Amino acid sequence: MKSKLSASLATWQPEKPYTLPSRRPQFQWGKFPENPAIPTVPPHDPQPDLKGGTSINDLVAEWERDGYAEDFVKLRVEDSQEIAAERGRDTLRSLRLKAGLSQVQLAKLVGTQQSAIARWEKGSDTNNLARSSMRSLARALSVDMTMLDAALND
Amino acid sequence: MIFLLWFVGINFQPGYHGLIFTMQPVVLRLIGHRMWCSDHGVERTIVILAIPNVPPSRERNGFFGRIKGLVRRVETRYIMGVIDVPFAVAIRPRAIGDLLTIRVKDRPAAVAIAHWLQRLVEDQEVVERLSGPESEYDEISVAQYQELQNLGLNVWLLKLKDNKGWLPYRILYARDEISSVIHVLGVVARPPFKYDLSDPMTKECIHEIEALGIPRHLAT
Repeated sequence: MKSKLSASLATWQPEKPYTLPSRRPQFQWGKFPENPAIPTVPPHDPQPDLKGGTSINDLVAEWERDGYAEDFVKLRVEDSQEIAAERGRDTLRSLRLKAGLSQVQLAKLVGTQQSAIARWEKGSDTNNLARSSMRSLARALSVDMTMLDAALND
Repeated sequence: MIFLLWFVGINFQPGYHGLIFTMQPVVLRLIGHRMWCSDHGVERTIVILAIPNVPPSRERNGFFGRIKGLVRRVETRYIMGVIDVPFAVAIRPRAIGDLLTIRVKDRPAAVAIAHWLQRLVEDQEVVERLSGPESEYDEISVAQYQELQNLGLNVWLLKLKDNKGWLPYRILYARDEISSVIHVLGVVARPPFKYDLSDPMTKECIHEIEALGIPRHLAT
């Protein structure tokens, strides 16, 4: 006859072995901590507090949905002609406007943030532009890579 | 020297453009944990992304836990990246109403105003143009709303030009330099609107700015 103790001993399973908690990333001189919970670059555009106001990008997007898209496209194309005439060549901004796109729309097509498009149009960060981004840009703007390269090197 | 530079938060990080500031907690305490910003040339740069690397406070229980917590608090770092923070344009409800009214009466003008306000966000160089006391360019004319500026309220008036000439509307906006937002308070038709404190729109502007909490400047 088995006692209760022997029965419990028979079914006894060792507890889950105690493992030390993973070491918290420590500060390293000259290095950011490699902690995925702490992004070293901002994960998204810093959005200022509009205090209940509507962003102009949202307002224009709403109007475009309401049937005013053509009006905006017309104004953008006019702007693109002005910019191209002023510079004597196409720039990234003029190409975008010629395509009738806002920065937000282009950013969605390229898969990036509006601020990135703004920086590229300004001429910053274009040297480090990834090839995939270049391809997406060229596809969104319906231009070839040579033309895009010339526009980016403005 | 390296320690001093590190302590005041100046670090040269490979792979980053410009400086990376890693503010020490003491410094952050001194500045009240508010965003630390500076102007680097024309570009408006601001240090963002303050993320504490402190574990939950439950780990600070007990005597040793408290000591560990203290040590970790000293270790607390705020990672910051120097990036451009562009001005945002916020349209107040009153201004949206104004634009919708104009859209019914004068569709091209309303679209031109909305398009131009979007250009502000897309091209920050245009924002720079809006800061002159009396600026007139090809397509815009900016002026301070003197009656409100005298009260210390940073309200400006903007008029735009389209293909046919100057639009008969004035865009009233307030600049919030601290949070980098341009608040469009209203779009008014010029003939009925008076540059006067008795004007109902002006009164509404004052209430709106007070509600927004935009600090007044020292009126000259």
